[in-house]
Amino acid sequence: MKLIMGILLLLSLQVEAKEYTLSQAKAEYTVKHIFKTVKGQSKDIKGKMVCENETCEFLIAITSKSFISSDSNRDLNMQTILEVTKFPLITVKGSLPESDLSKQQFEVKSLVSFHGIEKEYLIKITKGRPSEGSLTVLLEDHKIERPSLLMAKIDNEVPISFSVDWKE
Amino acid sequence: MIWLPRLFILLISFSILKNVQAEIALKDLGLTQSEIVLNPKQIKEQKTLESRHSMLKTHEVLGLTTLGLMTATMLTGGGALDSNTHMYLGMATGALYFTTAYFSLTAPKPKGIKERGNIVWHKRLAWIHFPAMILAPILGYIYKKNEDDGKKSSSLVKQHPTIAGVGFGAFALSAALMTIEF
Repeated sequence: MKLIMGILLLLSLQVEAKEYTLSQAKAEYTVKHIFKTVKGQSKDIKGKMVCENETCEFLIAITSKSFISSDSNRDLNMQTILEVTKFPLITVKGSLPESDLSKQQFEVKSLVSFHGIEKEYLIKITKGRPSEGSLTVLLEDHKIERPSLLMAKIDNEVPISFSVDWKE
Repeated sequence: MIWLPRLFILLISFSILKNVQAEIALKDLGLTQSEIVLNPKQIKEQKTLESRHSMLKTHEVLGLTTLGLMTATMLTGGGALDSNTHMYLGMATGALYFTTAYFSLTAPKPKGIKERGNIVWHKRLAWIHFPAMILAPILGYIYKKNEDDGKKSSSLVKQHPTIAGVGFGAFALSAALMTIEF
């Protein structure tokens, strides 16, 4: 009986969760218009990943108003359109097999909450220090009114590239 | 030894619980409540942003219309003494120009914003076209009146086309700065 209890005790303790936090991260959007292409960047990103039972779950949050482009006036317009005070965070969450973390390239099915609308995206990740990834967000899918300049709206597709560095 | 079955159940339960991963919450990321949930101050901030956006959108439309009228005024300058077209176009341009300026100057601006990028030059150029838009119509009016009365205009009054041209150039460049990424 004592032996069985000992085995059970060992079994219950053997799986320890590994926790990772983002040590540095960067996200960049590219907005295209017939007259110009604009990039904006944010480093105000927080994230956590927990790996347990061969599965890793993660949650990343980006402060919506933290994106900075080359023009402060444009950033304020972006904040108005994204309603950053109503939806202060852009979140990305998902899970992946722990074995994927050792692969050079892999895809992660993630749930992106942007402008209060959740949508599933397949994010391509290239491993490295930091790891890099990309996805293309469709503004209208997230009920974002596309801003216009000279009667021409910006493109609906907004490519997002990011880099993340996790530390245990 | 009566505690042994209870310990057994406890360990089994613990083992099962360990296999169920708890979902990571936003507060686990170290975010504060004010960063997650909307507060009344933020609602006011959003209203300020929306009001500003609406006024600057009007500023954009009026500004481009002004640029069109200003171009027409410049093109009709050569025949200013033969007909009143140039004068009427100039008056319409002036009225629209100052309305455009009103929407820019009175648009609310959130506190703590440090301006950078093309908007800085867009605003700096106003220091050229704003005085020009005050001086040019006055000088134009005096010039036309002198010509009608057969009087000779001073050298400053004769600078009406030059001042108007400088104002037009600065205004066009200011509009281009907001449209094209240099």
